[in-house]
Amino acid sequence: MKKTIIILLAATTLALAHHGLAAFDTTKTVDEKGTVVDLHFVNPHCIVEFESKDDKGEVHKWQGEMGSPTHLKGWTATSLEKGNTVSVTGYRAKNGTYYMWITSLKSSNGTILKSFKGDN
Amino acid sequence: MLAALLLFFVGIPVTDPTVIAKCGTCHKVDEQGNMQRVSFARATPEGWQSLLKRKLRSGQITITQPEARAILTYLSDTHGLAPEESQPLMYEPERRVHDETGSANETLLKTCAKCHTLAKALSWRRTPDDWKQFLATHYKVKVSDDLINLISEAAPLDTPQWSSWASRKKSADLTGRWLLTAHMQGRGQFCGELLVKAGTSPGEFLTLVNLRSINDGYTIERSGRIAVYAGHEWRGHSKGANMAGSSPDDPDSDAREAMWISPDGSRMQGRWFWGQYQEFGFDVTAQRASGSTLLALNVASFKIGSQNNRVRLIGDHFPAKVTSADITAGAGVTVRRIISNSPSEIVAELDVSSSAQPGRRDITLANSTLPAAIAIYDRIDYIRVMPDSAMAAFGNDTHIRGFQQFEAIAYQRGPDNRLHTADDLELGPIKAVWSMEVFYETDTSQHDIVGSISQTGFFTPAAKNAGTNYDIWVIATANGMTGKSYVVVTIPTYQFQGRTYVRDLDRWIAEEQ
Repeated sequence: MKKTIIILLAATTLALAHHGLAAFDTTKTVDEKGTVVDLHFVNPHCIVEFESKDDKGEVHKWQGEMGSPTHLKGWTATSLEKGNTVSVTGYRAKNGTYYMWITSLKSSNGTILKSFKGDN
Repeated sequence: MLAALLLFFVGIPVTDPTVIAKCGTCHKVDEQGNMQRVSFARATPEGWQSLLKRKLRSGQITITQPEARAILTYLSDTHGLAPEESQPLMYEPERRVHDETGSANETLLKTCAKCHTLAKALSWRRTPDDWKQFLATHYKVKVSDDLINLISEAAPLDTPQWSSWASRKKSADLTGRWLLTAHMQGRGQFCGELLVKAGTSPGEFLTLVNLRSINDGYTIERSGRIAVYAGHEWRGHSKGANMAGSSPDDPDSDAREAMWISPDGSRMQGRWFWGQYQEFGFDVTAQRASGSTLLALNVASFKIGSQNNRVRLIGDHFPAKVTSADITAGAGVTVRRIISNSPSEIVAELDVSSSAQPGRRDITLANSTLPAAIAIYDRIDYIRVMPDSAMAAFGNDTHIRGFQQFEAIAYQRGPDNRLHTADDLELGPIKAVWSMEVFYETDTSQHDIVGSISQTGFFTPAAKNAGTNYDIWVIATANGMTGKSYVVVTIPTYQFQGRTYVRDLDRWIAEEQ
């Protein structure tokens, strides 16, 4: 097997923006406020895990997807830390699971993500 | 401006009769011995090899295998890279996934690393005019004077490093006995020796390797055939003395070898690798055998206040008599006693004072020191799964599956008291319970479709190609904490605009039939 011209799924690193928004309901946004559990500052998507209480007081563990580290200009692995309070807006997974594509984020530590739609 | 600059560049004359005979039919040689294009470029062996392959495939050159080898050797030796130039690019021949973000000018990253690694571009050094001619062949690149200036400054033909190396390099004499340490993800540390004998022609060597796992004593014997280019670029193949089993990560598997040799010829480091996209391999370091030498320990960390910690010191030519006073382990760590010793292994017991400060310690025996060999810690703050993002691939009739081995590594936060920062203290691998989650899943019914994770952290994609990508978490749980790696399990090939694309490390490349 010979290989020549290189095309990419990846840009500079692992599979940048490798999936579309098909899994998310992009017809409306949801707003959540919660407490950061972890930030995964990795390719192909940075992901923030946070816990949020619903109207009944039940705690749900959310996973919010964002762009790659390259896209989150100015962010580092410590831009969000455990215990930070975050207000997020995004598209929730169509199947009702606690996943969302984050379009904007504001953290109690000052970190913000503005109107990020992704380039999927 | 570019034309003016060009006037000051002097090419590297081509003197090899095979190169002149085979390349000179198209590339004219001037009265100074400069061959058009060839004299105005330098490259790694992989750079020249890929150029030769392209010329062969397009029918622009007809050569025998020995002629190809001779041309490759000559060009890599005389139009190669200096050790200082090639070292930062070694992730390309070593076939490592490498995050290039921040490693170069953003324009270069956007221009070059969109389609291939930046190292592939920087493994060539050219005059501005040659870069201009080269870039003109990249139909997807918008060529401008700014871009030519940028890449000419980043990868110029003339450099102090090459000038210095070209005048002092000599045929590498690597014959003799070397001491090896090797790490294989999931299998841990190995130690052993490498015997190098001269091959049939200058720059060629035959190798015999003995490695022994520090964890379980598993032994590996390998033999290989190596070529050394430009006095410091080790490239070759080796195979295990035992037939590799069915396990894809069998360390007896046939492997390619790429190593960088230090300018003084005393050390080597690199990777020996195999697999569908070279996902398995040893990270190898070698040093010339010379007297009593510490190579490795069987443990990576000790807790503050712990007593009677048993540790094995692995090495070579240890003294016949060793006392606890002969070993130093840094502030707050004392050697309580020596339990046993042989020429290649010392078993000792160490105590760590309850007032010791967290941090790394050197271990020294006589004149041999292992820098930062052990970590002294008081708590585990988090565990990290390495690699922290990865890809695996389903197989099909023509492509074997791409697997992935993970390791759970324990960490203590550093003096800044924050997690995931540069001052955190790595404590070494930690035994973990492994599990996986598929993104957006409502239950675990998709697990069988995607693959499985073993309790040694080895991810195996499902045997049947699921025909679509899945994103999953590979999760390690230990000490009540979890660490996660983001894994994309992808299809083996896909069709786009009439071409077939296959997985290659972290990207897709067009497959030639």
